[in-house]
Amino acid sequence: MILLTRAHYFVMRFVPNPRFSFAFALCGVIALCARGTEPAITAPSIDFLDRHCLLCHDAVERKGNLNLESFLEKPFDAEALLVWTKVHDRVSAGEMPPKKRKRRPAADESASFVDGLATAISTFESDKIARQGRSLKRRLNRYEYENAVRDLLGNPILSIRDSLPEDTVAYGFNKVGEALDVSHVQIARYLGAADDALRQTIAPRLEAPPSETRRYYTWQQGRGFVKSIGPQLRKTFPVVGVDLQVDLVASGNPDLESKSHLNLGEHSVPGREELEAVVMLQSTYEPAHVRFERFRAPVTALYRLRLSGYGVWMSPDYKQTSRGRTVEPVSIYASTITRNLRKLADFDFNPDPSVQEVEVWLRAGETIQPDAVRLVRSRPPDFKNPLQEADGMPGVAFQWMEVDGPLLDQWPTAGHRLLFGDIPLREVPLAAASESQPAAAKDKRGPTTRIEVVSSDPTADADRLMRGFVAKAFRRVPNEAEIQSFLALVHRARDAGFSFQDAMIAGYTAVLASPGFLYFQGEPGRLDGSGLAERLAFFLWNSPPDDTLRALAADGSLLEPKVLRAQVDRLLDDPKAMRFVEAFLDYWLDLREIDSSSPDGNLYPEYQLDEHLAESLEKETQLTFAEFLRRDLGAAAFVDTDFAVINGRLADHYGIPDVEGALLRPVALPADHVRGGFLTQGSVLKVTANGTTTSPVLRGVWIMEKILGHHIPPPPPGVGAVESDTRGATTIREELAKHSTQESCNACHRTIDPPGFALESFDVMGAWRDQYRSVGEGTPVAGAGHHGQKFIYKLAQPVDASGTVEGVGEFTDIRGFKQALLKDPERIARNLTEQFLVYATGAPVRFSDRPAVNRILEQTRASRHGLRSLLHALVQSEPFLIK
Amino acid sequence: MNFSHAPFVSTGATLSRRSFLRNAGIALSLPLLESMSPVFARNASRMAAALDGKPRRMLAICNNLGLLPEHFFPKTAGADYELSEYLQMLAPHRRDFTVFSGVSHPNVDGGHPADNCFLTAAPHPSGGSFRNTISLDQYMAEEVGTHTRFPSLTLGVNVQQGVRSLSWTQSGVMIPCEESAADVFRRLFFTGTAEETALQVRKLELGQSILDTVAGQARALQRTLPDADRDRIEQYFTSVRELEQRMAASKEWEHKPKPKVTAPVPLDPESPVAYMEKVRLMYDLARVAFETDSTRVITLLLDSVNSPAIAVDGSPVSDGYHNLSHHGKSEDKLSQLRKIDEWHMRLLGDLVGDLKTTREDGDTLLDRSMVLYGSNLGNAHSHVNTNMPTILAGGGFRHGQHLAFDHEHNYPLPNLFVSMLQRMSIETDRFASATGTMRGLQIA
Repeated sequence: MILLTRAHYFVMRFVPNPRFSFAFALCGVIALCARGTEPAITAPSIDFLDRHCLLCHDAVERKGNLNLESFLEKPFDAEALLVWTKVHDRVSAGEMPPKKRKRRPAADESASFVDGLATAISTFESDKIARQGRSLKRRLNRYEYENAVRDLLGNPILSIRDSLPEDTVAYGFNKVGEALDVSHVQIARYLGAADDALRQTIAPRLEAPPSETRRYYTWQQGRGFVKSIGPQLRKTFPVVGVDLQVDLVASGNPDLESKSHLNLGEHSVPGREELEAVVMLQSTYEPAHVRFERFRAPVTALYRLRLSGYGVWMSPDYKQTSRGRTVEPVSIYASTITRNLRKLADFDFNPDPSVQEVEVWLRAGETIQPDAVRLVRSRPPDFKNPLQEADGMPGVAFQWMEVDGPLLDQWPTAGHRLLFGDIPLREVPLAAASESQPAAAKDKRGPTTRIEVVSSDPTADADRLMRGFVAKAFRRVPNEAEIQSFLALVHRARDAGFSFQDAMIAGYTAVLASPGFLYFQGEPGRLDGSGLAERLAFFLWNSPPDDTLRALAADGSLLEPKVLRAQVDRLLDDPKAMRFVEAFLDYWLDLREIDSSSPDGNLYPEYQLDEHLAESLEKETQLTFAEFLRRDLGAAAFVDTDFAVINGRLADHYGIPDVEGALLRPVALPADHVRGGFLTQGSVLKVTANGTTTSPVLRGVWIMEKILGHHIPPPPPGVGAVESDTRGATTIREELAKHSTQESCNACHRTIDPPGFALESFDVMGAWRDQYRSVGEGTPVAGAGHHGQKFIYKLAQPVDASGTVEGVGEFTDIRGFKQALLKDPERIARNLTEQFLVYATGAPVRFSDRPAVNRILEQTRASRHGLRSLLHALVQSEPFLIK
Repeated sequence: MNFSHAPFVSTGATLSRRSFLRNAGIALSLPLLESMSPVFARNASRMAAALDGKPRRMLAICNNLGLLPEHFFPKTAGADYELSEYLQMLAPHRRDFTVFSGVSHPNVDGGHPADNCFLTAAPHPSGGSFRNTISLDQYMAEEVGTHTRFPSLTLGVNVQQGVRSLSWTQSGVMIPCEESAADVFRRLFFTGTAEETALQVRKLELGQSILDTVAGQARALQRTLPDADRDRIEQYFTSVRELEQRMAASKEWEHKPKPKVTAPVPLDPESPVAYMEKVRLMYDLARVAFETDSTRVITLLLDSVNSPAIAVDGSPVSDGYHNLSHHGKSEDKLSQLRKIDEWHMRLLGDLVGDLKTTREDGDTLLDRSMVLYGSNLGNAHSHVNTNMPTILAGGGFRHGQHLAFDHEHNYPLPNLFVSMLQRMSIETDRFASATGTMRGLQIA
């Protein structure tokens, strides 16, 4: 076969008629490249390459690190496709051969080369797609797996993602078949996670726990801290209204400025209990915190929490409290004994007492910890309150928490019923329980009994329950052989002496680790109803299809464009669309990396331990995207908008006046403000920095790749990175300038660096800066950070945020840079479309996808490539509809 | 077309050279089938990892009140560093350990709660949305655990149960510390009841049945798939089989007789005052567990924070251990702390000495056992989590040096964990916030 091709190749070299050879080449591609082992490039192309390209791009010269010669006799593989696509693009754009070369090909010669190459690549790809499908079969990633099990078992807070190994990223996402490998560790983790999730779903008691309303006073909740550490004050103060209850100071020491041991808890004066509140002057930092420990969620369920509290003002001598002056944002967390905290919600307390209500899912055993997040988060040994003013400081009074719940619509839960239907339950002592008892046996707080299902007809029950479970778990109709093999496992387990319940759990565990559950369906060609429902749901919900989608898939109506369109709207309007928003942004804009760097303690003291800021940054990006989706905002909005989705903390961070409170909402921006769009969001500016310094190169590459879809080749080996210097003597631009005089560097850097230059006006957390901060030279700035530590940093060199966008013009700062980008919004839309295509189909965007991408752009031109319009067009496009 | 100035010669040369290569057949390369590469690459890496063949072990010890830094850290660096006062107590083993300074876990702060992150390096343990991550020992156990009867042991002295441990699962669940040396000893060396053994075997068999079921379905599914997809399911199938082999290996342990040891069952002291005696018993237990290859991975948390006024050299110190650590520069408290620290060093020296005199094949047990000793606190008095005191003894590294890093800008300690993982023949260059392997630490 290889010999034949080589002979054929020789024949081709001496065929002079271009038209003939083109046809011949086509035959060759179809007939011989079918197995993907034949040379990708045919004779007329080789002739062109010989005459116009290989002089520089051969094995000896390797100009631009490109050795085309080495690809001449290779078949198409991933790398060869990339290279030939690049050759196609450069030649068709007239960039190659270089303009300065005297012997350039005639226009028709180039055109015929480009066409030949295009046909060869497309034909190869179409052929492969016909045989294998456009995307490779892939397993669920760990986000998808978690959502699938959560939806199946009706428990939206099951934690599974973190117990599975991290998924490998390809083409920017955790969705691509080539990268979603499986190892024995992965399988072991599936078994463990599935078993755990299933056992958590079994009803923990016979009767539903009573749904009641109970109030927990803050003063009853144990102590706010154990003792003072060192001379500093760590205070909690009892108040009624805004009156400090001096007689309740447990130390009995009227001099509150002395080493004070104010107990929170155990003391209250009869008659005052219902009025009393406890003032915190600090945000939570072990060991000072408010925690409603007397409440522990009896079962995993939905609860309604009401918290009563208000802001106060504390005098500098801690002897007097008065009415608060500001809105105080409060975060509430669910807490376990081992201090694992889970963020539940944010709300505000005001100077006037108010009751704030939230509905939250809690896990059995969790308790509630509220935190006044704006207050100083002190840490030993010494601290200073940055919010302290001449006449005092803000504090927050926590009065009580009321709990309604658990709010159950049925008992046992829907999840339990899926596993065990209406089979009777009985309570057995833990000691006598079967071997699969929960590990809670050792925990003194844990239950002393457990619930066991009792089947009077195990064979029939197993058959009925397993069929129901597999039908719901699989996203297609299971075949009988699959059902039988799960049932055989259940029977084997029962024969081995396991209880009915344990045998069923083993069977269900197998279902959740089986290829039918783990892998996407689809055969080469168009997706059928269930395949399309699956792809659509994992695209727009990052979750499996619900009953509605399944029904439309089953009768085939989902395949009708109108129905499909209506479903896209339904999915996007559902709260589950936030799963898509979060999962997509985690990878597209690297939001999953939001915590991977921390602002340097010396240079950026004000950001230390400020989780309210860090969390708000992430939320801003997610809610902005959701807002775009809701309003069908166009591609240009990704660069700039006249509003931002922010809260009080972000407004403060961005220098936007008159915004208070924890809630993020769209706020109109002052005219000509630098914010608006994604480029100037703190999250983006944080994930592109390292916590200490910013690099125009790294930020530039990021913008080019993530926003403009322009892939930057890695720097040649042996080139060291240009590092910023925090000593204040030079700026990164000056360092970079030393290199930009070298043409070999400049060829790429003139494209990469300008976006990064424009973003130099923003520090590592995205705040505006006119000067770089330094630990060496500069004007000293002193103060106290959010963590209560005193600091001094220096303000050094001024920021220069100017640059030139090739082919567009110069800009002086980020505003000008945004204007330059806005000249070509379609470029942004194209990139978005391609990102969505990878995310939605789990396959890279290929050469042969270009017509489909162009069609999507044409179809959305009227809406200026609105986000929702793009998604509609994409879902109806060929690449989305085929495997 | 203008070709009068074309560099004809050069073009010709290009052609002829290429033709030559083609005719010589050098340029011809067999295409590697897509399907072969992942499976082959994986197996190859596994084999490379197992080449050495010698069992490798780790004992990680954290004393969560640390050591007085002024007496612990050497003043000079390098191979010819001068032993510090404390390290003098380890002088006979100078060639067998490396001492580190200027190292810490990036972004692990918050004082005491950082002990739970000693082996995980999960950031901000006091933070508002903290969640722990997998600890070094559990990461190791996942790879090497099936070689021994017990994948790992999690031990502790005076531990505040439910709050502290060094061992954490991937999903951040605490593995509680075992505090009775006697109980652990019995489990290591006394055969369980027939029922216990049978139950364990049945559980593993159930696991194997589950794997058989899903493997069978993978095979059935493969028949209908195009080549490329079939290869993906093949990878799933192979992984299921590998896990099954591991379960089979675990099952075999249940039928094998436990090792016989001559040492008596340790006698657990009842009072937490006998802290040092408890530490000694745990060190002995760790050694004998390694010697009998009962496990290769052990963690030991010395919960000094939760300890009362402890007995040192037979007589109790005046103040609770934790209170002493807030010495406020009191001479009296400092001298008592010093006494405690010195006993820690002495016991550690004994452990290293014992491991050195025990032999396994041609090596000493120490050569094959990494002993990591350290603390989450760089200075208990000020609660800082930087400049963590750290010693690594044994394990077949080139020791006898003080690796000194910047005290202001610490070097990431998780890099040491990566070196230790690699020493365990686990192929990875990442762990927690590590940026690579430990600079300056070489395999012997």
